[in-house]
Amino acid sequence: MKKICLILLLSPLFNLAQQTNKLAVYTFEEVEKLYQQHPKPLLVFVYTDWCKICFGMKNTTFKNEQIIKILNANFYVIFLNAETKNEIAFFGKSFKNSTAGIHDLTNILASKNKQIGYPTTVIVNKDLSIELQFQGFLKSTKLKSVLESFLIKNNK
Amino acid sequence: MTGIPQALIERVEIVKGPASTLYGSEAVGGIINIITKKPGNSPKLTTDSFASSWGEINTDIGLRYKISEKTDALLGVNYFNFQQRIDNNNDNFTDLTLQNRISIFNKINIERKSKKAFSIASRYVYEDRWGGELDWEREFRGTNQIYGESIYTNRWETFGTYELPTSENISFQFSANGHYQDSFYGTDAYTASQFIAFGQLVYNKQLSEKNNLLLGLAYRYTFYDDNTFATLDENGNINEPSKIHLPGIFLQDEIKLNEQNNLLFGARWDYNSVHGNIFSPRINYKWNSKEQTDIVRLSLGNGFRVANIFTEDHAALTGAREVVFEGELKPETSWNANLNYVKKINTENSFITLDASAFYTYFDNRILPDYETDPNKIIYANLDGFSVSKGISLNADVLFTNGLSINAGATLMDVSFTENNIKTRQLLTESFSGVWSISYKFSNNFSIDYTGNLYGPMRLPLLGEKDVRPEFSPWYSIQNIQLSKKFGNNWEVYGGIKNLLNFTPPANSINGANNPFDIGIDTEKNPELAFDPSYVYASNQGIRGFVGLRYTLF
Repeated sequence: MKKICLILLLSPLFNLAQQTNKLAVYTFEEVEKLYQQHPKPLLVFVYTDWCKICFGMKNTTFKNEQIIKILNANFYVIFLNAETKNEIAFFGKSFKNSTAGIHDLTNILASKNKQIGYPTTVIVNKDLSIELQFQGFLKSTKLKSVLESFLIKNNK
Repeated sequence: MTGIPQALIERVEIVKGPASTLYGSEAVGGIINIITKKPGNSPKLTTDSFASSWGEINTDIGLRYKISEKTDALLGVNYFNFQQRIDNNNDNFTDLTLQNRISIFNKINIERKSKKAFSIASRYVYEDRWGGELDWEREFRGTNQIYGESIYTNRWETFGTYELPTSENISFQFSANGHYQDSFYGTDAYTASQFIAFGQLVYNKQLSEKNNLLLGLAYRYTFYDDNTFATLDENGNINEPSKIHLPGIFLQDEIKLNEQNNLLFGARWDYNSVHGNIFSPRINYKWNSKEQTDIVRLSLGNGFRVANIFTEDHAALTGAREVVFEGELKPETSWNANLNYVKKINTENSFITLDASAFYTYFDNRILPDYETDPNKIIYANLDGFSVSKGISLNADVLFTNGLSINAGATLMDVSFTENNIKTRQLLTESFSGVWSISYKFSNNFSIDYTGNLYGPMRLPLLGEKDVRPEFSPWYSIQNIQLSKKFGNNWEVYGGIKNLLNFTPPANSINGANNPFDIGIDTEKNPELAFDPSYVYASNQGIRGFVGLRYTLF
């Protein structure tokens, strides 16, 4: 009895610890389901396995406590591997990796001025349209101000 | 690598260690994989032209176009021209070979209903190059009036991939190339032609979530013919071109033992119609830390390569030495082990990648040119002993988020051959080499790049005991600096200086340059007076400036 009580007491603490320390990352399919219940804007981070800056940004900006707090509370975060061969279904549309070797989603999300670059950080608003796109490294301080001004603007 | 415009290259991959299963038994120490852009990610038009103060002109053009609704294509053209007879070291020989070269590259991507891949690429290169005495003209080609080495090269190649319309993942890779050389080295003619056709069927099956299997069938046909004694029949009378059929089969299994450990093992069996069975096993092991910040890779495998002396060793054709093959030259065989450790350190201000490698290759046969037994000859023979190439290499790559990036690397190696228990250091091979690249991007679209190489001493081939030149080359460094500025989204201007320190090998590196046809010389009595350029250990091209312009349309 005693052991179970301890575990029950400690479990809410564990939940809190998870929420403040780790960034919640979802797949497109998971986001579609969650969105039906609770619509939120999206942050999509487009990366590749061989991109050093992408790896660096995942380990610095996306591990920053303040960024994690803002993202977990206000956005659904998706990490998209630009070279994935998987077919992704999102809101009735199907996105595949085309023969040109580039995934449909990469073309839509990571293309700015007709150039595809990695990493690309995309902010998609609640209407599911692309609001902002940043190519290259985004420091946590810069991303924080971008997220905050976006939230202020959209919560009017 | 020449001829593919830089703008069409997506990335260059370097695989360290033996990679025989997929790439063939000749992939002894590693491979360099050049990946061209996909038409979808290529600019519509790119042009890049530069000129140097030596008079070199280079132009690259890249174009993306549509052949039909389902067919996208990329075209790349490279043109290089250098026609100045520069002789800064006053040895009466051109410091840099004069060249006129055009290269055309085209890649077609065909879109299929199944969305499976089908792409074909082709390339054609034509080059006319010559080097020699300053007053050489084409009319002296092949004569003993004025010395010149003139090479006309014609090369075409095609390669592609086709994913079969099957539910299983099977792809067919093919390539073919033809290479024709028409050349003269003084009075010696060397004409050669080579034709290679290759096809490979690869079946990729994901057996389970953790197990990936690769099965393949390959076939390669190599035709080689030249006018030297290397392609004469057994009696040495009739020309007999070399024709080799090389069917092969391979198997490779990659197992993800867990999130941190990965094991790959493979085996390839080829049958060489001239040299017999070739078996190349390979094993690769990879460990990574949970966060993927530390990676250790170990690879072991063997290599098998048929040496083609005249196409690979320019020294066999040039100079006054007689080329001799002692016995029937067997293929080069080796075993290679490669250990690599990568560490990634990421902070908000810098991304650091540290890379350390150790390599060891043991050759039980190697075909090495022997310049020393007889200064009048270059002797090629099977190694009566063994050869070892071993070393360590360190590389640091630091990317600061403020725009500064530093890349520096150094390799320490020991390459030697041991015959009759005597270990000899290989000629023309440095023990130490270093390379660096420092770049900084200013906020106003202006950037600066400073690159360089550092080489340690090399053992050089001397001509007999009376040769007065030093046996070892000095420490030397080639450094370059470049400034570039972007204007808007499309234009970029760049310029700089190459070989800042103006380093060139000594003026007497080409031995006997004043008498290239050895007139009035008994080269057996006085080998130190013979015409011989084998001592030239670095480029003779000194300091020069360059300026260029780039235009990109997306």
